[in-house]
Formats: sequence, structure tokens, C-alpha cells
Amino acid sequence: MGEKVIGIDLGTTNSCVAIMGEKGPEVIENKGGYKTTPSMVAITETNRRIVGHIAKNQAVTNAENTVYAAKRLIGRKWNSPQVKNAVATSSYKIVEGPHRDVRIVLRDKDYSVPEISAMILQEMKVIAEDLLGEPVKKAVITVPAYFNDNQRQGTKDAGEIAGLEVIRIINEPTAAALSYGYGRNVDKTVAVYDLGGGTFDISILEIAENGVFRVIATAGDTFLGGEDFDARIIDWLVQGFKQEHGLDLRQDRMALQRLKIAAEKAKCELSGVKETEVNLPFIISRGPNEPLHLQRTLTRQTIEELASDLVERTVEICRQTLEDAKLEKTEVDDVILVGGMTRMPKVQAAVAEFFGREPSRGVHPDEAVALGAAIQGSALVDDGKEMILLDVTPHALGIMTFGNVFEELIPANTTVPTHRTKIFTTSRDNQTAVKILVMQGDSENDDHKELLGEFILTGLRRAPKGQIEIEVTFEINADGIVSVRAKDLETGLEQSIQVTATSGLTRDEINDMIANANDDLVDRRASEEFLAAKQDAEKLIAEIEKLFPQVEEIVKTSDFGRDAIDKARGIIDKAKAAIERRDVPAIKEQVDGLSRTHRMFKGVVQKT
Amino acid sequence: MTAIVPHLRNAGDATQVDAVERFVLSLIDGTRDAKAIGEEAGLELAQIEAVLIRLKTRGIVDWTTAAEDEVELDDSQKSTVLALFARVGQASHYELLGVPRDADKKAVKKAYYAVAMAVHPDRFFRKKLGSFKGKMEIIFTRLTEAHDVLSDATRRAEYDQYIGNTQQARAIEEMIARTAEALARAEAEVRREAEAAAAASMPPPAPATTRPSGTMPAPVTARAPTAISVDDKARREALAKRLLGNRPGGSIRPPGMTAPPPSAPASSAPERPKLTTEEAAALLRKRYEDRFVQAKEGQLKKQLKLADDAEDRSDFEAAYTALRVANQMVPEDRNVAARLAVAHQRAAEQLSQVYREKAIYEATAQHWDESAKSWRKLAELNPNNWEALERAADAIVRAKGNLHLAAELAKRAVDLQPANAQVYVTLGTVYLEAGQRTGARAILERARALAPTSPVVASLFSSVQKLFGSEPKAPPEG
Ligand SMILES: Nc1ncnc2c1ncn2[C@@H]1O[C@H](COP(=O)(O)OP(=O)(O)OP(=O)(O)O)[C@@H](O)[C@H]1O
Ligand SMILES: [Mg+2]
Repeated sequence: MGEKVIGIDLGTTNSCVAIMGEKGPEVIENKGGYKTTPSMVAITETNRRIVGHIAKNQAVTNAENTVYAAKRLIGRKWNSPQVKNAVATSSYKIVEGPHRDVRIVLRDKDYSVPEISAMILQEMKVIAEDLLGEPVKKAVITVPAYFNDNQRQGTKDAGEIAGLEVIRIINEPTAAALSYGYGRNVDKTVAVYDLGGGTFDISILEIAENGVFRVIATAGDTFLGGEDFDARIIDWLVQGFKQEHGLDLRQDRMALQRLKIAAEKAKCELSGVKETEVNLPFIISRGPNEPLHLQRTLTRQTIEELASDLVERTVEICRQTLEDAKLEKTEVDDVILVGGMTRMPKVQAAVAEFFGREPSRGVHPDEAVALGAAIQGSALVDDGKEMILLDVTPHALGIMTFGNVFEELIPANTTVPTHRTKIFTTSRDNQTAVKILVMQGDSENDDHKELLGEFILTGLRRAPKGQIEIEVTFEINADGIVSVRAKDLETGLEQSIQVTATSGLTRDEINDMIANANDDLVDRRASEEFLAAKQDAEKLIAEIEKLFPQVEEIVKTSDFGRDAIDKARGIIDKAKAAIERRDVPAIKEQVDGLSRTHRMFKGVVQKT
Repeated sequence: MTAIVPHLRNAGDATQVDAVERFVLSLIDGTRDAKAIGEEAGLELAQIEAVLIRLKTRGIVDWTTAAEDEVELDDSQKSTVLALFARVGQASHYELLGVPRDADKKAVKKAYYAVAMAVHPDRFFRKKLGSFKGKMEIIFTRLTEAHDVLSDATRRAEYDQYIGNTQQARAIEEMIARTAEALARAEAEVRREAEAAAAASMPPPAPATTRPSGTMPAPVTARAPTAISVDDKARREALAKRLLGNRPGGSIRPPGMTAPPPSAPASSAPERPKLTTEEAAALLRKRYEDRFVQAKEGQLKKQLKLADDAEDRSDFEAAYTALRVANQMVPEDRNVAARLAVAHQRAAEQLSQVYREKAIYEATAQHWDESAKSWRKLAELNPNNWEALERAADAIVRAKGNLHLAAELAKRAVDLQPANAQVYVTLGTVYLEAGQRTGARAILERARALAPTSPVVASLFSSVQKLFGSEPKAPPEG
């Protein structure tokens, strides 16, 4: 068995960590005994970072400093419509970063999105380390299949900031299929429908008996998920409240946060019951002493109507993907549902209707992705594992040519690794240099292309335009890294770049963030130790203090006794001071003294 | 430690390479290092380096150096990769996957997965792969292409057609090249038969004083301007011996030597009427010529039969070859000449069809370079085929090829089709591409006159306008 690689499903709403065990992949529970951890981060009043359930629990009272759904912002540019939307609807503050990227402001400090994600990843790392009792260094992290290179790079950066070597980024639906097919020895074509908190993905894969998992086609929408369903409910509630009271609840961040929680809760309840009550007393007040309450009944039918276009959209994407895969519905042997939103009956019904079959119950919708990541991790580092994953590139890659025309070199849904070559010519007379702009398609918006990188090929011979031929080669290697080469066919001169997509962070910034995150980890570890020591000490102090009256009574007659009591008081004072200073070694030292005193006191009391 | 990675240069004279050098050249692909090439060619490192240095001093190859590979693969893994890598360029999709031509989708998939499992870089994730990683990725890309094409019915049919066409075109080209060879063979056969027949029916001649070397029948010498082969020479000597009897000294003089003076009459066969030397020679020549004509007629029949059979099979190339041989034998025969003309036409049609389909397939696959070549070959066969000329020009533009040539071809198309808007559009596009705005405008003006409502013409026009207005900028200069 090689070194341990953890698999992390870094979700929009929930994250999950798994590892390959003796008997197969296993999800690791957090301290609270939960298999998933909310992807929430907050900075408390005392400037402490908190992550997961504790962050979620204080979200209402600390709305401005609690980040949720940061995944929706990763690798995005400040001026993108998705960011604009998030700025308008989030209860935390989003500002423009130094590289046209996005920063989140928490208690007057700016954080990059990868930094926020890193806090969650670090938490997942610690959860795994607590179970394993040893440090974990390597991870496979999942991303929505439809993430572009910048978003993937952002996720990689987050891993690095969290102190993890990200040995591979894999696609969430693919990971789910791995956990579905693992150890089953099946020969099937499956569709994975993944509707989570923030993203929708559909992938069609072929699972072959000999351990090959081949993705045939994949598509999705990185801004379509449970959050959008919640938003529809919030709109409905805000709208209704406005009609009734003429007040806009959106103006109040705390009210908005409460609405958000209530909306999600109602949505989840309606997966089980037909009707539920949204009850938010004292949601806002009109003037100084007229508190207003929100109370409305929400039915399953209403929510289905509110969100019907969202569900419809996922079905439309399924149809397109099946077409891209050149498959008939009947050729799909199994449909796998992943993601919390697939618990919604309407979603299940729409999927069943579209594919003409009941979805499989084969995998756990919350855990399959992390399990798949762990499986891929172990397949990579363990030579004995006969398994390969043949995934595709979800977006087309190409260069921008004369007249801003996108010239595609690698089409979407091409199995990686791959390489393609095309020949271009100069577009102007006597042109001595060409700039190669490496672009990635974005099917959410056909006209929009993301710039992945650029470089310049110089030293061309002066010649009439169209005469100098330049051969451009695109390559995506097994690690998903894109490199582009341009060669002057006349001179053989060559220029190339490895396209490092940008999450919006520079190398220096990442290094700083790594250092900061490490500091924080030391802090966190220390505070755990402090809490433990403090508890020990306080428990002993309480018991000693309980015994004081009795002991004083017994020993007041002897000098020796008075000495002992003074000494005991001294130790207690010192211990309290050490606790005050949060000085862990000092507390530990006093704990020894305290337990000696405690034993001695108990002895005195018993003797009599 | 560094490794030499040689690549070919276009400079230098590659015609003078010896067999080993040629083999080495065939293995140079710009990615393999000298050691790998040596392994493949069965040469020691020192030997391969010597060969490469020789080639470099003659300007045929050059090289870059790369850090020596550190590869943690065992020998069998390495050789699997190298063997596949060596075939990536030439092997067909079927050969590469190791499946028969009629393999079904399932078999194709199975083969793809099996090979992928052996060469996918992820299988060796923790190993250092050095230059092998790139090789594996290249192999994998090709395997994927093979799988994707062969498991899609339409693409596979197109591919089959394409390799069929490629093979057929090659076969036809070879066949035509072989016609000359076949002709030579037929002649040799005719001659052989004539000689043999003449010799067999010849009565033992009287001692002759003729200079035998002067008696060789004209057709043979006239038709054999090339050096006489050893076989021919031996045969001729044997023939002469039989013709002349075993007269001592009656051997053929090597050409160019004067014959010895006629010797005294020697012993003879008394029971036969004696012939004079001149009579014997004349008889000999006559017989030989008769036989030659007979043999030639036999050959002619044989070739015509071949042609008939080939035509029955609709194998027009074979018919053409046979008729060409026949025509060479009897250039005066009008009938044969007419048949040859028809066969030529048909073979050209067949080849044209092949080139056309090939060109269209290549165009659909966006292999513009190849497509342009195929259209041009078609145009060569049919100089009046305006479509081939026009398509060739279009493909060259798309392949970003030689625009002068494209203009040449498009102009010829225009000459042939002066009333067809399409040819003007293509010529206009060439001009536009070449930045000749005035030319483009004039030509498109013509196109507009012919097809006033065509949106293509309109959009090209607007391109011309745009180019007038703004400076071209992309790919922008850095
Ligand atoms: N019973 C339920 N009915 C309806 N929705 C539910 C239910 N349970 C969870 N959800 C919703 O599922 C979403 C979370 O799903 P999940 O945990 O799979 O997302 P994620 O993995 O964090 O996000 P993503 O994969 O998009 O990054 C939330 O929007 C949540 O409200
Ligand atoms: Mg998810």
C-alpha cells in the first residue's frame, strides 16, 4: 500500500472527504459524526476562523462575515455576470481584486476565493488526519465537469494553499460513476445526473469490465443548482411580504440570511411532505416599535411551479448531451442521481421521464463523489490497481485569429490526453511576429471565449502576408495541463507555453496565502490543545475548590495543614493565570500540580 | 548526460545516402533520440552516432540535445511503447488496434481498452516516464482516433472508402508506371519465342562463312537499345552455335570486333543439299522474322485477351495497361488504337472518381492540404474540369497554401466557366486572401453581375469593404 491519498468533494454547499481503506473506499466522518461538512467559513468577532457546522450555526447572527457558496465565484472574473449576480444576492461583501478577480471582505480583511476554499479543504484534511492519526499530503479534488480551466486552476490553488498536493482534479459526475462501477465488474453505459447546491452536470460514461471508465460526453451549467431553487423561494417570500407590508426584506442582511435558511429548509421539507409553513417571527420592524412577522404556507406544487424552468433546463442539457454522445435514450443502461437536489421528487420524475427509466439507487447522492475521488487517488498511486479513467475535455480549445475569429483546435468532448495541429499564416505584409492567444470555449455562452494564455512567436521573415506558415499544436496531457506550441515552418523556430490558467492569483500571492494558512493551522491546533488543557485544569480546580471547606476544617490545627492549603491556593491561582494567558505549556504544568493537590485533598478527606 | 534528438533538414542532398543511412533517416521523427533510433535500427550507439554525424555534415539532418531520459519502465513496457509509436504514422486504424477489417464495434472497443490499459500514462503515474510520457500520449491520441472513427458507422464507412481509395489510387499509379515494364517484358517474350522457334525448325546449315554477328534480325537489335543481359547473350550464343553448327571458332564476336576472315569450307552434312552462306543467312533471317511475327501476334492476342477480360471485370486500369502494350506492338493498328483511347478515357474516369471522392473526404475531414492535392490530381487528369480547378483553389486557400498557385487554378476555372458566379467567388477569395483588394473587388464585381442576390457574394463584398477601412490586426503583432 502506497502513501495515502484523500478524495475531497469540494461542494458548493457541502464538502465530503473519503479515503481508500482495506475493504474499499470509505467516507470519513467529521468530529460531529457527520459525513458531510457545510462549505461555510466565517470569521468571528474575536477574529477566529471557523469552518463547517459551527460556521453554519452562527450564520444568522454573523451574516456579513459568513461565506457560503464560494465555489460559485472561484476562477471567475469580476465583471462576469455570475459575479454580478452574487454581489447582488450575497449577505457577505464581494469586491474587485487586484487582477480583475474577486475578493471577499470579512472583518475588513480581503480574502481571495481560493483562500476561502482552502479553509474548507484544510478542514477536510484535518478531518482525515484525525481519523488516520498521521499527516495527509496528497489529494484528488473534484470539480464540476463543466468547470473551465481557470476554475480548475482556482481549485488547485486552493488545494495548495491548504497544504495539499493535488495529484489530480477530476470531474464530479465521473467520480460518482467510479464509485458506482467500483468493484462491480459491469459493462454498462450510464448517465450521471448531478444536481448539487450550485452546479448541474450531466455525464454519459461507458464502464467496461476490465476497469476502463470512459466518458463519452459531458455538459452542464456551473450556475444552476439548489441555490437557484432557494432563490426562487426567497423571491416568492420577499414578493409576498412586500405586497402585504410594503417593505423590502432584502434591505436587511440579517433578514435575508434568515430567509435563506428558511427557504432551504422549506424546500428540503417539501421533498417529504406536500405542504409546509415558513414562519419567521420578528423578521423586520417598521419604525421603532412595530415588529413584523413572516408567516406563509408553501406547497410542493408552488415550489414545483416556481422552479419548473430550472428543472426543464437540466433536462434540455441532458438531451443535448445524449445527442453529443450519439446515443439513443434506450442505449443508456442506468441513470445515476447525485447531489442533494436530486431528492426533490419533481427532479426525480423529470429525469425518469426523460430517460424512460427509474434512476438507479446504486450510489449515495452525498457521498459518491468523494468516494470516487478516493478511488481515483488510489488507482493513480497504487500500481496494482487495474483501472483507468478516460475523461474528456468539456470545452473547445483554440486560438483567436485574424478578425477575432475563434479557430478551434480541440473540440469539446475530446478524450484526453490529446493533441492537434493546424497551420496558420501571417495576416499582414512583413509581419515579423505573431501573438498566439489561447482561448477556451464556453458553451454557456457561445460567443464568449475565455483567454487562457498568450505568447509571441518572433523572428519571422519579412514576407507578403499569407506566405509565412506557422504550425500551431495544442496538447492536453494526462494531468489536464494544456500546452501550446507555435512553430515557424520556414525556420523551424519554435515558441511554446504551458498554459497555466489563472485563478486570478499570482505565484507570490499564493505563496503568501500558503504561509498564512499554515499559521492558521498552527493556531487552530494550538487552540484545540488549549481547550483540552483548560478543560482538564478547570475540572480539577472545581473539584479542589469543592473539597476546600472540608480540608480546611480538618487541617486548620496544624501548621503543615495551613502550608498545604496556601500551596494549593497558589497552584490554583497560577493555573488560572496560565489559562488567562492561553499559555498551554504552563497550564499543563499546573495541571500536574493540581492533580497532585487533588489526590492529596481526597486522601485527607477519606482518612477522617 | 544529454541525448541527441535528430531531425530532418530540407537542405542537403539526400539522394546519395546508402541503405543504412536511408533506414536511419526513415526512423528520424524529431522526437526520438539517437539511442532509441539505434535500438530500432539495430545499431550500437557509436554506430548510430557515426551515421548521424555523416548525415549532419552533409546537411541532411541536424539535432538538438535533450537531457537524457530517466525512464522507470521495464524493457517489455518500453518495447511495447516503442513498437506502437513506430507505427503511429503509417498503420491504418485497423492495424493500430490490431483488429480485422470486419471487426464489430464491440471488438474495436475491447481492443482499444486493452491497448489503452497498456500505454495510458496514468497506469505509470508514480514512475518517471521521461520522453516516454509524450510518446504514450501521442499513441493514446491515435488509438482514440482509431476507436472513435471505427465505432461510428458513418465515419467508419468514410474511412473505409478513404483507405480503399488511397489504395486504389496507389495501385492505379503503380500500374501505369508498370506499363512500360510490361511492354518490355512482352517484347522480350516475343523475341525469345521467335528465337526459340526459328532455331528449332532450322535445318542443320551448311558451313557458313557469314559473319554471324551481322545476321541478327533487325527487330531485336532495334528494340533492344539497352545493354544485352547475360542471359540474352548466352542464349544468343547457343542459338548461333546451333545455327552455324559446331564450327570451330564459330563463336560470336563481341560487338565492335571485326570478324575473322572466312576460313576454308569445312566438313558438311552430305545428305542435304548444300546451301551457300548467303542462302543460309537469308533463310535464317526469313525464318526468324516469320517466327517473330508469329510470336508477336501471339503476344498481341494475349494482350487483347487480357484487355477483354479486364474490361469484363470493369477493371479499366488493367485493360488500359494491356491495350497500351498492344498498341506499342502494333502502332499502325487503328482498331487497337481506338480501343486504347476508350480504355484511357475510362481509366481516367475511374481514377478521377477516386480522386474526387478522396478530395471530398479530405475536405470534410478538413485536411485541406491533402484535399487540394487530390483536386489538383483530378484537374491534371481532366484539364477541362473547372470544378476540380475551382475546388483545388478553394482548398489551397483553406489550407493557407500557396496563393499564387490558387490564383492560377482559379483563373483557369474562370476561363472555362466565364458565366459561373462561383468561380469568380473563389478567385475573389484568393485575391482577398492575398490582399489584392482591387483585384478582389473587380472579380467580385463580376460575380455580383452574375448572381446579384447571392449572400456569399454580398458577404465577400463586405469583407473587401472592411479591409479597405481597417488595418488587419490579428493575429496581432507582439
Ligand atoms: N431533501 C432535499 N430536498 C431538496 N433539496 C435538498 C434536499 N437535501 C439537500 N438538498 C439540497 O441539495 C443541495 C446540496 O446538495 P449537495 O450537497 O449535493 O451540493 P454540493 O455538492 O455542495 O454542491 P455542488 O456539487 O453543486 O458544488 C442544497 O441546495 C440543498 O438544499
Ligand atoms: Mg456536489
